[in-house]
Amino acid sequence: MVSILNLKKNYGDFSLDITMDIPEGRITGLIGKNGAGKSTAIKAILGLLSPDGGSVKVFGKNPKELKTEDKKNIGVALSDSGFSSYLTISDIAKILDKMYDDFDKKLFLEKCSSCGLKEDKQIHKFSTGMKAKMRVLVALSHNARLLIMDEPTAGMDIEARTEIIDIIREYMAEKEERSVLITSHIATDLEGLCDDVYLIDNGKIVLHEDTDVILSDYAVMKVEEKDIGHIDQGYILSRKNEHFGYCCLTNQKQYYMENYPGIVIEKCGIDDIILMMTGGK
Amino acid sequence: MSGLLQKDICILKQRSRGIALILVIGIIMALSSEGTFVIGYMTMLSAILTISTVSYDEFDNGFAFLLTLPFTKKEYVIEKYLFCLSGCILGCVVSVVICAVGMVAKGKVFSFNIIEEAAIFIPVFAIMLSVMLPVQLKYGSEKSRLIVGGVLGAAFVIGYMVKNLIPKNMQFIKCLSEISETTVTIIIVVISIAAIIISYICSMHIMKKKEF
Repeated sequence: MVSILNLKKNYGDFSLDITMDIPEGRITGLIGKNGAGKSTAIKAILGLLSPDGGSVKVFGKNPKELKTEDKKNIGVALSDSGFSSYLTISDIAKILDKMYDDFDKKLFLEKCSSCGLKEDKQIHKFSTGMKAKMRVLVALSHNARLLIMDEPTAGMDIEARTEIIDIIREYMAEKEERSVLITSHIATDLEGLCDDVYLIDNGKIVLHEDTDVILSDYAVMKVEEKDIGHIDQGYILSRKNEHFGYCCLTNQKQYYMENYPGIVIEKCGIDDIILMMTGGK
Repeated sequence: MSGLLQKDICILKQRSRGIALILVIGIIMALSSEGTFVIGYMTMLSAILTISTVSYDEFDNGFAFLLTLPFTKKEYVIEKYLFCLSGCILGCVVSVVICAVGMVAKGKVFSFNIIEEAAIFIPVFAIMLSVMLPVQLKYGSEKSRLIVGGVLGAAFVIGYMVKNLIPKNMQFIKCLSEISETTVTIIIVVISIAAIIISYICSMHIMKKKEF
């Protein structure tokens, strides 16, 4: 659906240089700290900025050359941008009805209503969570094959975040050929949703892995300073100094469990990987 | 493009109180004053009102999302010109009707010359639109207010200088004063068409280059 090859974009001190692939039928996560380059990557995919180098293809085309019919197959939710906040849900339904052939106005209004979004209330009067839900419902309203969601859960409480993640999961379950690219700096949101994740740091992809592999094979080992020289360094991806010695990230949990039974090995999640890969030595 | 038009109509609908106020002031002006001032007043406000939809589009970084919707940048620019020009024409038509009603209410006979006088406002405000739209797209609503204010101020100063500082017996000025009304109208219409075409090309270029 989307392929990015050596995409480059420079903004003063910041330099983005990434290669990514978003295949059909998968939910791909793009995670990283604030300012890592997630939104810049999303904007490049959507043709909202001109790359300084490399290429981006969406449905096999340069994003800037996408026709109206191509764009009807993309649903977008951006964290910092949306419909004019002076419009109401009812206005948005009318606009989407005119823009998309597959827009189901009745269903959209029903979903909005079930999420507590009043039809005649202006968007700027909604809470942060409600605005985020509305942006997601808009992206999902027209049977898009590709969903691109930039921080759809930013600034929301755990209940609202779970609700949004569930909405996206249900949407993907409806049709196999759909694809999603979702960014977040809250990694736990993506652990139960994404098939694979890209970790971006300072404009570079530092890790790409299937979520299942991360949850099953990755681990954080706590190694005392005296032991660090005695363990195999071949499968250590990153390490950080701690008061007791070192925290080491590995993608071969089983190997270290079998060969170094004395080492403390803890299960690791995406948050741990972000901490280790973007802050380790 | 129909979705974009729908969006702009919905935005204007949110400003219905402001539109109602313009209409009320227009009616009061039509009843209390003579001449066609109300037509110029209402046509200008209609043009400003329609152009203001650009600032609603850009407010809160709205352009980024808007341009992910199913239309091209070219369609956006075309829609904006059509919407603003239509708004200008509609404002002119409504103001003529108000002017006619005002004249009848005052017991006067409606003269069809008023329609001719009103029609000249459309190319005049089309020229104004052709300046304001690309400036607004390039610099956003805040900066464009300053720039358009500067342009209008410069036009006023130039007009003042032409009127007061250039000797009235100069050959060029004499020639200008001898041009018939029909010729002036044709010149204004031609200038307005040229201005709209140049403005559209500039706006297209601005939108193609712009990053969001």
